[in-house]
Amino acid sequence: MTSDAEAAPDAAEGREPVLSVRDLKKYYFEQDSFLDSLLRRETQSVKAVDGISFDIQKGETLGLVGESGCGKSTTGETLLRLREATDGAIEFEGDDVLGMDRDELKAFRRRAQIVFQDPFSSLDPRMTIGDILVEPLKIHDLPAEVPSEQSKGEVRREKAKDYLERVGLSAGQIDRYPHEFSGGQRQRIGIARALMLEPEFIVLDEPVSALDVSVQAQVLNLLDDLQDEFGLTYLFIAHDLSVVRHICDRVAVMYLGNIVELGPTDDLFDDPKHPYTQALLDSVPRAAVEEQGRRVEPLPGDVPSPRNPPSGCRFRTRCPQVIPPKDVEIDQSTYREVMDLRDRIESNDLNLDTVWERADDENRSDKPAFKREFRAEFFAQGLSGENEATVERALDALAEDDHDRAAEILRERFASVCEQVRPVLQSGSHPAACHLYEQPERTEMAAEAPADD
Amino acid sequence: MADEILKVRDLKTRFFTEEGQVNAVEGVSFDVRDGEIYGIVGESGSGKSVTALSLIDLVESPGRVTSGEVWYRNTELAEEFRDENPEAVDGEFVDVRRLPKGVRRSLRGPSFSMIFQDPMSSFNPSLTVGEQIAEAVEVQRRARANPRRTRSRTQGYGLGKMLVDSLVPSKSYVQDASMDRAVELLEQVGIPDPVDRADEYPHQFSGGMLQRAMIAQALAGEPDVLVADEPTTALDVTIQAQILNLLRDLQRDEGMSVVMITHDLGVIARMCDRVGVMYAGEIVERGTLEDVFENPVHPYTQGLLGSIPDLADPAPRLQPIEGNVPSLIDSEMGDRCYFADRCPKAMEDCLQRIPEFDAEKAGASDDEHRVRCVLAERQYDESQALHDGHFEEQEVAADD
Repeated sequence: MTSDAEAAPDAAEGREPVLSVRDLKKYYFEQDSFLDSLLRRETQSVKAVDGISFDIQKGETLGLVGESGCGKSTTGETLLRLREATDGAIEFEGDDVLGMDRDELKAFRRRAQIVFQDPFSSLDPRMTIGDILVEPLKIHDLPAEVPSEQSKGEVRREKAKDYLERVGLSAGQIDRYPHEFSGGQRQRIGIARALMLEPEFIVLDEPVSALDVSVQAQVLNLLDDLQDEFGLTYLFIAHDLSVVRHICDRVAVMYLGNIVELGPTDDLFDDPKHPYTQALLDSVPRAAVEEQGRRVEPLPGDVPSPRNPPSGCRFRTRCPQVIPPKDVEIDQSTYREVMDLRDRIESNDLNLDTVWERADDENRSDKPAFKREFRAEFFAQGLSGENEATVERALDALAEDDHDRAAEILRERFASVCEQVRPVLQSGSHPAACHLYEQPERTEMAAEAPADD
Repeated sequence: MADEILKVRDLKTRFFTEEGQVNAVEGVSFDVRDGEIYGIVGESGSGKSVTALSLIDLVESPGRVTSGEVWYRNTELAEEFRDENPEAVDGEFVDVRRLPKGVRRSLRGPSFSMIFQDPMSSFNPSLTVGEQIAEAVEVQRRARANPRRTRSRTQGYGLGKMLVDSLVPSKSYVQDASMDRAVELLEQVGIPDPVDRADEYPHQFSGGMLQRAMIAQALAGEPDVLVADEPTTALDVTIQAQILNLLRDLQRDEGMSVVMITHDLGVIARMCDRVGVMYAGEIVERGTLEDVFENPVHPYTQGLLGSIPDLADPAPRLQPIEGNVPSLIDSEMGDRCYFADRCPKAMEDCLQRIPEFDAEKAGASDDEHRVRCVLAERQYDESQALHDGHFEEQEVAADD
């Protein structure tokens, strides 16, 4: 464990955070059933969220962005204990969320609500809008006291009508069913339902990504207005960076279960620090004429599997700025090629058959031809000096089909700080978990073994 | 100036459903030139995907292309049908819709090809990716050898086939030569280790890789026109950037024309030279990227551009279009500008059917900026504005 649980990486001056998360982890376990234990299968963990820490201040909107599978929705759901956390601490206004019992949890959920992504599956098709909106009040037996001339039901219904109008629908629609509404209108109903309990904090899990752009803008404006009106605090989970820039005060960028960068929205978008954030921002196509024909240098490959994430920095396998050892002189693109080759060898993903085929040698004895073909495939430019000699020795080992020795030879010279030490967020208002920026003293952290856990 | 490869004129596609006739595509016209990327942008339900399907004759029941012309430049076909079917030929162009069914089908692949939004559901999960691409290669080879017969050997089902298959497992499914070509295609679209990956099943591919494989499949016939229907919508932005680069490279190297259909104005801006904006089954505005993005005339185009938050310049408040996308059911559509009920600048004249105007001047060539809105011809006149609630009142009157 390397994340520093002590310092809040994003402490804003003088304000008490509404929600504070420390080193939160959520692992899913596969092959974890009784049968699997009988068969003595090893459980496999999927590290959906792997040690994240952040604070949310009162009245602010914190954005949580990342690509699919980075753990942002899991984070949102774990915060509200819709999923049980594996490890870590969550404090909501001083109360320990993970330690709450049933009654406390119910009280907590009155104060913290969620709006889901899909407005089609998150409303019960057999309930009227009125029933849907009143249900949270029934569960929490609210309001506690009613004026003597009205029944509880009447008060609740009045309130539902009131909230329908506040989210831009008409009170007359209260007896309709969800299928009579469009996607944007349903999302408004989902928002009204979350508001019925007058919560302080709402997790918005991709609230506009299922909507068309013209309707999306309506809902974003609505969320803005409601925040002003009720003094709400939002955790806004999204993958659309333009939307995040528009609505959030601060933004956390996630990659493969980790927060890689966190900062005030304008700082983060104008001056992205982490290479992943930079690549992400560069990839977004902008709706402007200047965008025409712009060619972005995309990140190579896909996001690695969270079953077996890379050691050290999670992003190192795709990072265009991976850091070579101090004493090795090598240009960045060649170093990237060396690292890609190492990843392939170490993950047993290297198939030499095609190289031998190209070397046109069935007996696999013509090593120079093999090495020539191999170089042509993996290295765009030639290497030189000691780098060249090391790669040469590694290729000799590969030609003899000794993958382990090749990996060892390359690791000895080219091992990067990025694969040995997991970077953490520094303290300060705009930290980035990357070795390009100042990291805490190495003595404080245990160097991570290549395959942890 | 490049020549047109495809000229679409007044295309109409209808769906005949239980709720009534749905006018999904309502008189769409546009041209696609040699080696260009033509963009069609619109929200869900605007008819952009049905336009794509109509182009390559893939509209399924209860839908049908009811009228319109799709002129495709092909000298060979023009020669072949000049005497037989003179109405279908105009110079080098043939009207695809008037050709016999078999010929139309044989165009799919070598002339038109399509990639879809969701790669996961577009592949058959029980065959390897390589086999499926090789199958496309074989279909194309057969089509070339005998243009009238495009059914591949692999399409047959039946007891006999099942017996043969179980006795001789799928080794004979596709020929080795086709498989080799499939591997080449996979390499061309940037899949590492194409030899190994060709033997894997779709679930072993990531979304981005599978989209590449689908592009490889579409390239099997070396098409003149590639129709890409939301090719990156299901992908993350960094993967989207990879796929967009790939499409641009392929388009340049192969000299293909691409019809790019998307809801994402950013993708349009990055990829396209000219663009059409669709709303309620019509192209409401078309022109070059500059025309449409810098000088939009139609209030819908303006509204669409005003609704998206800009990454570089976050406006304090978005300017959304009020209301929702209209129903396209014929009986509910009325005989007026379809956007009038959401339009902030609706006037009395908008209650008439609005023709397509040339934004610059009347009678110009198709190259010009064209708009289906009265504002293309004159200024907004507040004295003629429809009062608030005009359409609600009409609705109430209709209900009574």
